[in-house]
Amino acid sequence: MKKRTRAIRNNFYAMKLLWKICPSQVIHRAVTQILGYFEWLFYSAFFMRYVINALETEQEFSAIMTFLAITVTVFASISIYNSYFEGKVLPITQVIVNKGLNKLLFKKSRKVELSCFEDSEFYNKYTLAMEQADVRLMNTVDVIWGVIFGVAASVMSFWLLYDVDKISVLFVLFPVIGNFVFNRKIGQTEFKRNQDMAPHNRKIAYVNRVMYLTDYAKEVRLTKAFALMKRHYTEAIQGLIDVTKKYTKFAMVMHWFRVQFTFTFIFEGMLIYGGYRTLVSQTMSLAQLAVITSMMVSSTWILIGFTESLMECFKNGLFVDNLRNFLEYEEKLPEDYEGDDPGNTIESIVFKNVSFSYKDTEIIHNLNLEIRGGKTYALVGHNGAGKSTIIKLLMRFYDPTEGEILLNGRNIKEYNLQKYRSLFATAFQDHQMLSLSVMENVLMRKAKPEDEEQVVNALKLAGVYDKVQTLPQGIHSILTREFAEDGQVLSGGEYQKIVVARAFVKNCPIKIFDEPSSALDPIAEYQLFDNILKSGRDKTMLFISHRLSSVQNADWVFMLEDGMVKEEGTHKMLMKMQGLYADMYDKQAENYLATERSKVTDGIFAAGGEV
Amino acid sequence: MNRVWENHKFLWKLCFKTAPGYMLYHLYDAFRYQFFIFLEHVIGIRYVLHCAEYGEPFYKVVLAIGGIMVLIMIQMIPDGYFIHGLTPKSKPKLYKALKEQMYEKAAQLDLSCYDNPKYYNEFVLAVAEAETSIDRFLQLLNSGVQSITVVVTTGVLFLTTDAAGILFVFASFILNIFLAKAINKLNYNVRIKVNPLERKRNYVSRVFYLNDYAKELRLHPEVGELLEKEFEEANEEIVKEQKSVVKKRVGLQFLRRYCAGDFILDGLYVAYLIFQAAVLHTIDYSNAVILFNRTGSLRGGMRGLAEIIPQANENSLYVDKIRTFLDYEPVIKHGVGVAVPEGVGDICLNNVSFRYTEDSEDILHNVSLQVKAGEKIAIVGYNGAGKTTLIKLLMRLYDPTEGEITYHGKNVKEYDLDAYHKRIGVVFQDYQMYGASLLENVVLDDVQDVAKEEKAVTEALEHSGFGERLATLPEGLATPITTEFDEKGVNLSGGESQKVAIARAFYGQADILAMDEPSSALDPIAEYNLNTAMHKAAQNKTVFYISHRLSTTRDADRIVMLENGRIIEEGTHEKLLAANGKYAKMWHAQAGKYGA
Repeated sequence: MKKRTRAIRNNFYAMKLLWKICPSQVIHRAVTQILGYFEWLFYSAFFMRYVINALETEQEFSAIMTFLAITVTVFASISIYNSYFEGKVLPITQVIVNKGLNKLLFKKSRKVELSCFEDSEFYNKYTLAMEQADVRLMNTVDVIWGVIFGVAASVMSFWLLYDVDKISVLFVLFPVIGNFVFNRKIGQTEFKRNQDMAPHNRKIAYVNRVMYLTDYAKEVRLTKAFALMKRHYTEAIQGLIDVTKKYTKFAMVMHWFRVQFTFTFIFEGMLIYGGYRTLVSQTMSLAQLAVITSMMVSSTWILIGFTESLMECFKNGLFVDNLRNFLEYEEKLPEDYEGDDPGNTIESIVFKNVSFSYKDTEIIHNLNLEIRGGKTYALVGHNGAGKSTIIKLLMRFYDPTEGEILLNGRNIKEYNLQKYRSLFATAFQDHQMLSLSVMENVLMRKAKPEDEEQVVNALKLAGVYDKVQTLPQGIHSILTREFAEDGQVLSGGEYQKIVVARAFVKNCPIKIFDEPSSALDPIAEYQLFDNILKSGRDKTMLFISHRLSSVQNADWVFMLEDGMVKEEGTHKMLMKMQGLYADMYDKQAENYLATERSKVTDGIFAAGGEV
Repeated sequence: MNRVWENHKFLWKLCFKTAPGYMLYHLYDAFRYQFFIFLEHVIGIRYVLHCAEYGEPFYKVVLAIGGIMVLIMIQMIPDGYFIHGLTPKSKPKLYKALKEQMYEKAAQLDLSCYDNPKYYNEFVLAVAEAETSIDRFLQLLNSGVQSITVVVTTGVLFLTTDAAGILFVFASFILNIFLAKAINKLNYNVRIKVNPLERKRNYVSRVFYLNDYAKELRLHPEVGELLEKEFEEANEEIVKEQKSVVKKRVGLQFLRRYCAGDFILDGLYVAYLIFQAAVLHTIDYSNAVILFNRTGSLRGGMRGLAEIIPQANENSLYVDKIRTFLDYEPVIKHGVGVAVPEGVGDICLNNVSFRYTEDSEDILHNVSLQVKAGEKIAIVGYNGAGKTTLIKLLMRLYDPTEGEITYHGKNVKEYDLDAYHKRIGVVFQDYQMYGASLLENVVLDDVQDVAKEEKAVTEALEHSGFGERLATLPEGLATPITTEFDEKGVNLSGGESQKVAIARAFYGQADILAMDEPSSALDPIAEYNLNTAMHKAAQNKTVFYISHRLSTTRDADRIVMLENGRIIEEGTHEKLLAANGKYAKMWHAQAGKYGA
């Protein structure tokens, strides 16, 4: 019951939302539905009754024609309105709704904290809500009108029937039972059946994916993975058949009763009853008989339409629920957080006893580190040691679960978030290009002509300017083929360099590079680090790298393991310590430094050397 | 036209062969539906009205309507089984009949088809449309039979009662078709202009909702505003396009809705009927009511018939894609060729060149390489030098454009493809885990006799360094991998998956191992451990190892340095260093700093 009231409330919410975005569409949709029901009821109840009555009472032919002419004129004006709705109102307001709703959604999605995107439950609901949200919102409102005017039209049709003949309205009970008892049972059975079928359908979808995605293509050719998939497919089909069998008998019986109650009993019952009234008791005119034969059909279908709208209404409630939850979500870390101006210099950044848990697992444990302005820092450690998480905490994508992060002695939570973030230029390892020009992709804002020099410099430092120059429009070329036919597609390494250029171009006190070289070959990697270090000579800089050779020139190195700083110091200090860092460094350096083959004892080639 | 017919004949044959009972009942069902509506609402109601008009005895009404009722009740019995039993059982079978053929083909398709975006898109579309094209075909059959039933039954009613009515209906129908065509054309023209704008709109909304962009948008709020502006502009353009056709569209809609529809049928035809009934007395009331009520159905039936052809044309386009796909003859064929000789043999590349398409540049250019049985070869070079392509040619995922590759002295094209694949164990950078047991993930086949494979799989997993993890899995080799469709499934970490992928190469007892940067995703320690684990399994095998970390390859028997698809240097590490060429430069770039 609680679920139902929630669904109803959600429908009202949808109505209000659409009203806020585009009131005219709400009204027009109501009007077209009213007119639709009016036409239906008018022809089946009133029109025929009038005409046959006139014929039976032998009225003047011209009088009937006058009535007909008036009817035709009235419906001509209704038709003009409907054409106007379909030809103008609908296509244009649809765009307005799309724009209005998406603007709300965009605004919200920019405002919610990053962790929402990483929380798969939240994210799934959110993408579900976003998908075709405009079309579904309009549909939801249409269905609400369908329910409201469906009830009105049903009542109206019963009343019209009652007006013709008091007893005949009782026959309407049949389709009511058919719709609300048997049809519901079928609906419930189908729901259960679909639930039982879901795992099998998921299997089928999975097999399908494996068979057409390029990711699997090589393995499918080189192995017998296809046989494995074929077995899954056959099993899933058998599963569907078994599930079907389980529900067939019951659904069959319900179906039979539904059809008999909804159509046969009312139609045949009413025909016999009407025949009795006209022929035996002679209390019904031919006109009335004709009317009840057409009214029984329209009443039934209006009722079916109403039931269907009602069921859809509850279904829509679920969609609106997701939409609403998202729009009403209260940010824990609002992107537009107002606070103090952090200024434009960095004296120190301090992590003080910082712990951070993601989904009940602690990733960072009681971490302490200090960064001084104007120096270069390296963060090293194994995969999963927490390096990227530290960067995210520093950027305030998340807040620490415990402890605090201080900038120039004050908790970073006290600063204006946007201004705080603009202190940093960050190059992440997952490079995302936007379908904009190279220049805008570097600047990440609208480009002005005077920016050109800086962008070229940044691209040069990142080592990708030569490539950009070969593009037809140089730095003004549009990247990706998302919607530009002639968009330029670069390699992964080149994209990564453009991301690095983003960090170079930004004029800000601290720069962060998160494994900027993972997709680069050794020479490019070497040059890149050289440039990074050169450009950051008197800037504060923090970089993450696997390649320890590139770390040597940093002023200070943090060695992370299991979310804690295990060792820190200069390269030399750490090497002397003979700890984790030194071990990692040696393992990497060993083969480079070994002077004779015999020193190498492990590795794929070690055993094969003497064959 | 012929093609449309052929395509649907193809579907019919496929469906009828798979589920003959279902297909026949499907046709009968469409007929049954319209036939009983006609019986109930035309014959039945007309008879009752007729009896009332002429004062026939009541028992006649009871008999006639009672008879109809019994017929309806009986014909409804199998209907429930058709809807709730036969259909949900048969449709997946029909889908499977088509899709399994497609999968079979997909598994044999040349890999080069995947590289051709145009072909690949067509292929994806064909797979995606397989089920819907069957649905559309069934729908087409249904509406065809329904329309014919309506036109025949109602047509006979009009002809026997008052044939002139058909003219009204026909006029309305023809006008309607012309006007609908004009409206469609107009809407189509708008669509063409609006489509790219909508694409832009969708792109922006994707950027806002995809996780991939979330970080950047937070760091660069200005770019969000830039995109929002693009979004707004796209929407304004769409409104402009829509507005430009408003007058014409509203006008056409009115003509179609009213002039071609309501005015002719509810106005002119009604006037004609009343004139006949009231003035000429050539038609009785009950017939007039029924004729008026049936105009809508007759027009609907005519429209249904008229729409069969365009609908069939549309469906045929998709079926065409499916059939073209099924008819594709792969260049690299399965199931032909001779057996591969036992044991490890020499492998030679003789003047091999390769390009992806005729007019593209060479990826590999005139490469020659003689590898003795058991030799360990390292292939090094910059990104894009052609290292991975070389491995793919070796695997016969592609055939060389020029030159040949021989194994045991025979061109590899002459060997049976599957037998040849078995002799090479390969680990690519991009490997996949499957929703199946751990054992099956190593074997990558439908394993019938699990016990037989257990020993070999366990060994392979131990060699690849997965042994410790295996010991922690309560269900051992039977552990379901991925949570794809088993909630108790295990999602392996990147490093663990990689070990399983390597175990696949070991399991097959292949003569040749090809490793394409297997350690690229690993941190230094994991990389080190992996290399250690692998050396056991590599004994007595020919090895090709790709890496751009030169530390892992220095001890190869021979290092082959590729640049722009050519072998530029070749030899042992020491020899190449002494030569002081490109390899030496690359080595020093990487090693230099470690020496500091």
